[in-house]
Amino acid sequence: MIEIKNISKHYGNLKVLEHLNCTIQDGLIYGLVGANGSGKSTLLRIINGIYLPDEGEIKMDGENVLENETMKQNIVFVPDDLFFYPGYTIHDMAKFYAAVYQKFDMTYLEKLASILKLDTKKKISTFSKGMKRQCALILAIATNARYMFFDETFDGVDPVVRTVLKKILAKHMEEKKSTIVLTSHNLRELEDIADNLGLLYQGGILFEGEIDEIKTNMFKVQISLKEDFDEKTFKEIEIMNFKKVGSIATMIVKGEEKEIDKKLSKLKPIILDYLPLSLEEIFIYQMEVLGYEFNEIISL
Amino acid sequence: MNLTKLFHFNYLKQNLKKSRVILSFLLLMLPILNLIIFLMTTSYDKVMVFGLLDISGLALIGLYIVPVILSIILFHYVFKKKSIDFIGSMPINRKTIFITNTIGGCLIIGALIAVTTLLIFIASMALPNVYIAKEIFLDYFVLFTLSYIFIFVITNLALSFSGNISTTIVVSLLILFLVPFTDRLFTVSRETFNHQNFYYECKECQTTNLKAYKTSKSLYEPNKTHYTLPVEFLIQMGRNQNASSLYLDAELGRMALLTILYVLVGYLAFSKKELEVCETSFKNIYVHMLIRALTVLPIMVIIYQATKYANFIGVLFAFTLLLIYHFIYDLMTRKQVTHIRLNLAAFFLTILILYPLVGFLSGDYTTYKVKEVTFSAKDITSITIYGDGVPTLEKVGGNIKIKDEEIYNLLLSNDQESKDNIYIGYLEVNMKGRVYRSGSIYLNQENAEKLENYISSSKVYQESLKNQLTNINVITIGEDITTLEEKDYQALKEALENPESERAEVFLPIHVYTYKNHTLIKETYYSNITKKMNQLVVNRFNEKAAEKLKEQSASSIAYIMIEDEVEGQYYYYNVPQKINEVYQLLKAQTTSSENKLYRFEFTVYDKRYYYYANLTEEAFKKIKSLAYEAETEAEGF
Repeated sequence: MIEIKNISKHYGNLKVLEHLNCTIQDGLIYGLVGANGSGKSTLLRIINGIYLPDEGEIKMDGENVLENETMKQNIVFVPDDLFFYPGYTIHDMAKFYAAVYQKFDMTYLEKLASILKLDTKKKISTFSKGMKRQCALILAIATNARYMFFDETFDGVDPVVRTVLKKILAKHMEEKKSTIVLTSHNLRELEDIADNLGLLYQGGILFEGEIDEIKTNMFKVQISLKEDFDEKTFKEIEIMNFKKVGSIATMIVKGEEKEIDKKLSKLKPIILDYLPLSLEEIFIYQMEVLGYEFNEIISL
Repeated sequence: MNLTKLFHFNYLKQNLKKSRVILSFLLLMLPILNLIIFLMTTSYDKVMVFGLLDISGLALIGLYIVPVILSIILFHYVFKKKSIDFIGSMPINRKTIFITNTIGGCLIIGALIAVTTLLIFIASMALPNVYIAKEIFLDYFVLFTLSYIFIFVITNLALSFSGNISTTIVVSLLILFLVPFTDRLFTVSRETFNHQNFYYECKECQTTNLKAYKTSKSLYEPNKTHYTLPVEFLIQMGRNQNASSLYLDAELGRMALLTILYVLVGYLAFSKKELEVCETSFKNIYVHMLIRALTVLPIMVIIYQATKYANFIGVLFAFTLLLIYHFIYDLMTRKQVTHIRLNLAAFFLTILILYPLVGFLSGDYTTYKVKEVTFSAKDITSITIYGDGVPTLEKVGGNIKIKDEEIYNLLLSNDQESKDNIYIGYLEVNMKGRVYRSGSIYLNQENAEKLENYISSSKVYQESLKNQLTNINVITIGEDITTLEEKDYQALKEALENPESERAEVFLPIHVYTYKNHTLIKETYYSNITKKMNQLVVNRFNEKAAEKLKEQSASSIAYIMIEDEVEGQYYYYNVPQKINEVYQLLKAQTTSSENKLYRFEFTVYDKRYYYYANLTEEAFKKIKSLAYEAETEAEGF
């Protein structure tokens, strides 16, 4: 489990992270979303010990991570801007990793490379952008670290490769019981991969939860009744958003679908339709409840 | 601090591997180039005796380059965001990285200097006419290993604070030079003032008139401050000084202590380094401005001196250049010029503070009064006589330290007025923990004799006589043309102990090279100190000459020149037949003894050889006549 307690970080007068608290459970993929400059990358770098926090602490499995070499054997980080030594091949980079990561598995790396059809003896500088990301990923996976951090690693990767990488990660998670934290400024990308999501805004976690729970507990209802009606007619149901055009109302409701259906059916509606919500729409409505304009927060 | 836990060998190996090409180039370049330069400076014609400085040329230049580059290579990751992310996220602490790189760098430097030393050692063993005292190699290794490590840890310390390479170099230079530069500026101006003022005391004196040194007040205190090697070497080169005692002057103890201090401070600073500050100078703009202001100090010294004599336009021009420097500095270290108003304010503040500060350091604002020092025999600890005018001291290298009150008074009775007074040399007076140096000292006949008798009968002198000619590296004769053999050293010692008063007019210099107290000392005697010594030296020369002549045939000789030193005449022979005749005559004469000594010079394939040979009067006349004949033939008469 990753416990982030009261983390603050300033760059001069700019507050990047302000008393941030967050807990990430083991064995899941946690997606951290936020606009450009919201502090996602800074948070990851603090967790990985690259930057020093001004305040707060980070614990993994109850141990402080900062300058803890033993603990860091269980952590690996793939940044947004990839780094490979000039003229190095995958094999050369693997040797570097093996020199510092005690559990680095060269055989596993070779296997992953062959799955992705990457030549381990060829210079990485000759690879395409996508192939470089694959290199970085398999090198990280081969460290057998329990906690893996990816900073916008999947952004811009083509769907086919993304699917392959997802499968590799999923298998790795299953076998090694690892936890993955990845950041993105693209909600649609994260929806595909993550189990949990957290929204980073103005230095803190504004909202977080399990994606499935979020998606199944919120949905759109279109309803029309014989009699005249308004929002108060549905007082038994938790309504996030209510719009009525003519005799048809569109509501965003929160709760279990069966329960809500039972309650609505009692009203003998003329029209009753349940429409799925995208994650983006869910977040929009959640933010409106919290009083934020979502379009200001997230770039679409 | 458990060093074994902090040293990560595998990380070091990988860190070096990534820069193996440039590292190999750097580490091979110094020893190989050093060896090449060493071989190029050797000569097959002469005996060459090398001191520490003679084999240190490239190592001294490399001192300012190699350790800096090594530090930047090892810590290169801190200068780029991408590499910071990569290394920073690895399961290796900053403390471990710092210690590993520091130890690794020290080991590399040790190996580099060891290889450089070894190559010179092997080369010197292989070259028969090259002499280097074995102690010099140890001194070379110690001096340069320590000095290179010193610069290396300074650079490590600098990058612990700085965000990019250019700022690292600037901070390194400040750490290395700022304090010595300021100290030097302060003391040199006062030393000059101190020394010059003695001329000003005497209204009728001119600078060459030694009347200014008439009284015992004429002693001045020379500045004996030395600095670490990188600084000391530049100072001595700036003075065009023969830095033969560089090992002693280099303040090795201070360098070692500072090295340890810088490692500790660097260790702490690096562990707290804000790695997000990269590709710029410093996080804080005020720190950047302060460092920039410190770099202005040496420039301000030049501006200060220039503005003392310049008109308004000149002053304005100088300060405009300074302003341009500020912007160029920002472009180089921060890649941008920001906070224009703040920078302008800092510029004016820099001038307001540094300009008067430089004035103060230069001594312009202080009224320096000449210290009236009264020399009392009771207060003096010792006086060292550097007596090139004292014949007795010739035997013991020209100087002696005296601790005798009676002699103090005698020496301080310096009197230049009388023309009959005898020149002694100069003194260094050690009194109350300070050392004062005099100008030339003269004594009347009686006192000069008293001094000589005192010296020759003193215990110190007797000990010096016993100790002279010990730890000899080599003894050369002539202009380092050849050497005396070890069996002749005793003969030289005996001759020095019993010199003859009547001496031959023609003589050869004898250079005795000893390596004592980390310094190559060259003491010169003259072969005519006794007849026997003169003959011995000439015989050695003749043996060498005979060897040389045997190697050559007359046809390989381009010309022969003979110098008659007594008459000051030179005779040249470049007609082949005459060369052959002279050559045959010389061959016949080289084994002769008790004859007059002549210097010959001949060239073979553009290489010039000298040798001294005895000639009977008859042989010399014959050779002279051959010269006239050769001249005549050459002119076609």
